[in-house]
Amino acid sequence: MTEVGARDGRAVPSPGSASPSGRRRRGSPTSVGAWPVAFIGLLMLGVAVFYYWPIVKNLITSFQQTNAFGGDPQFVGFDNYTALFQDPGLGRAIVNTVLYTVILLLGVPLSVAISAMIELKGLRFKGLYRTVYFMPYLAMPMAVAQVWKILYNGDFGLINQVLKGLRVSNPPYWLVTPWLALISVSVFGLWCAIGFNVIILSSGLKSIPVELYEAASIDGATGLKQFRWITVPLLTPSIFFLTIMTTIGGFQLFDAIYAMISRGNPVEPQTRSLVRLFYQQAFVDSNQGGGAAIAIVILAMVAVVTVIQFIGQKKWVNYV
Amino acid sequence: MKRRSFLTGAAALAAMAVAGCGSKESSSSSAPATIDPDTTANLTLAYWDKNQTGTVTANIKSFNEKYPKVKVTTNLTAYADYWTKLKTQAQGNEMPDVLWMNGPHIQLYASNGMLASLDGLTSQGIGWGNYPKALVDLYSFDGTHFGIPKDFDTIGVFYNKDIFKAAGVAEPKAGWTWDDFHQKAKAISDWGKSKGVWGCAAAFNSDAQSTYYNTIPQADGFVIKDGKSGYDDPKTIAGLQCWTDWIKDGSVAPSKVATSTPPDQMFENGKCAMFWGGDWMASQLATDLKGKEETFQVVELPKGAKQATVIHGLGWSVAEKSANKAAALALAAHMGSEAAQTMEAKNGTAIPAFNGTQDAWVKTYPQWDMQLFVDAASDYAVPYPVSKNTAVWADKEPDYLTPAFSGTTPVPTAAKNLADFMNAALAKEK
Repeated sequence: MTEVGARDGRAVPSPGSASPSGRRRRGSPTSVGAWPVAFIGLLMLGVAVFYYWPIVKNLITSFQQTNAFGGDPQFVGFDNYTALFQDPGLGRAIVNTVLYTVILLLGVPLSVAISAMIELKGLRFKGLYRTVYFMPYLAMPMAVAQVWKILYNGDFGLINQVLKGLRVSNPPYWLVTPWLALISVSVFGLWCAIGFNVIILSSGLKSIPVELYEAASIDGATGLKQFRWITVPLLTPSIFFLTIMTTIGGFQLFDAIYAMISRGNPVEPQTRSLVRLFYQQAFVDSNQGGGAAIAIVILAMVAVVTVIQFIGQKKWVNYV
Repeated sequence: MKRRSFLTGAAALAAMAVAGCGSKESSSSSAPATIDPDTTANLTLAYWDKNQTGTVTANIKSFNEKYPKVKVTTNLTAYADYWTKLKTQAQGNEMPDVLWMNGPHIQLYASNGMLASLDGLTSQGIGWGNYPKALVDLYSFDGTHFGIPKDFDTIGVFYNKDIFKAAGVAEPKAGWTWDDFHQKAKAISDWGKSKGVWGCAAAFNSDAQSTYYNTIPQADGFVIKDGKSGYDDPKTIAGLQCWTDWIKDGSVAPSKVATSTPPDQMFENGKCAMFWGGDWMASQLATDLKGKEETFQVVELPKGAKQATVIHGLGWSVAEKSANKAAALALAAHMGSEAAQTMEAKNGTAIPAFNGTQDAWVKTYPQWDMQLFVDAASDYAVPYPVSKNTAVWADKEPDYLTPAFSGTTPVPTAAKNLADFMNAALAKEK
């Protein structure tokens, strides 16, 4: 990443100095300097209004108690945070969120294997496979969740019908059994994410120079060795990108769990994610200050994990 | 009568002026008595049940015959998102002018000054004596009316005659007791075990209104009284314990079954013989079981220590900060009128609240004994338990009670913990 930026940085002053007369018609260097600011400024305005201001507002709200309609705000110091850290639900929500994220991350190596197979030389119907894997990403998660809910149904679901056919005597109620419920939702989340992963990785694969494989073949490296020593290392920028996105997505888990594990499900309190906890506090319990405090905790956790990932990437990500 | 109602209206207005509604509002609400037929206004009307769109539209049409220049835009939001959306709208002073309200939320909105007083509507022909008293009280706060009763719901037991016949169990009859219910459900569950058929299914883990909100008063207990939780009362605990007992011996389908397949679907698909549900289920059952109506019937809830059902109903409310409050009040009054509620009856989705219009509703389902839901309302119904901010504690009930119903936590322990939580939440309301 930094190398690319540096190369661009060096490229900018060169037109002005190398051939001044030839380039003048396209605009003076000063106008080149003003336009980017204008374009970026507009974007930054949107980002500031719709991203940074809500974060600031949320931070302020997290130190306040309001009435049910957000009115009459009173500063209460760290009361919301104290209450949050005493809530036994918080620890469980963190464990659940991390577990979900870890299972979702398993989708990244799985996607690497799938996309490498799709991009195998000489494979027919590549476009079809790509479409098949990408389709789930296009479908509405809430609608797909309903279908998975039926698949998981303890009495009539397809999964248990198959298991019963295989003479499993008492197949579990997937979405109503502690831990199993969360794992079932995670598997659904993983399935949803694979399409996006495969598209990103496929384009990453295509950018790997063919000569490297040819040279490796001449040196006698087999397919699997090529995969291990050429494909994977050169895919690391894409893998790193997916790892970051998956982690952030995992920490923001809400819709899948909300759709598949409804209120009244006996395991619902034990399967809450951090965002589910936030929703509960802010929108059901009308405790906006408490909800805002959870949002800050989520923000802090995502920030810390992302920073760690960026520091760690230097050890394993190869930029060509 | 006319003069008296005018006086009440004037008194209410005076009270509002004293309460200091702000000069702008009081000028628009200074004439809620009637509005000029030529009034021009744009109103929004919010509701959540798409099955009732026909009724809402028809009633707006009849409203426009009186006030042709008032344009009403309807705003349908599914129930799951209705309250989240309304709260956000309230926060931004953008509430719909006229809206559906329910018991758990009325006091929250009324006490925060979000709803307009409807006391003045008596001069527009609204007589509070025309509606069941339990509902008028439900929509009153601090002696002021904030909602006109729209409809009401009571609970009964729907049953599948074919399953009773196949299992060789006599059909339930009015006047039956918990013991009768238990014995029938047990007999059918024992018979149907190999076929996956349960004696009874009920949404006790997600729908208190159809389940333990009835057995609690039947056991002579209560959920809330004088701002205190009733969950630590031994009689209330008895009203919860019955479910645990019924589930334990398999008479009622356990929560993992009822969560995987909603009880109404189990019932429609012949997976349970009995189903505890409200009158609002009738329209769904009539559609889904078309052609097979004769094999189904409904009976009143079994008696515990006494006979009881919980009663709840929706109300029409008006936003306090409506830009066209006079027109909004006129629309609400129209929606609460006998003519509008007769229209509701014909639609058949819910029992209209206006006394005397219920017969038309009962006749919508000639094959079933729907009269029992209407009789229940006047004979033995108890009000739906609410407080100023009901959702805060009501939403937590499943967290405490589901483990109790499954037998993992003893019912008295779970009930006591819920009572403590609820009392703490109630203390914060003041």
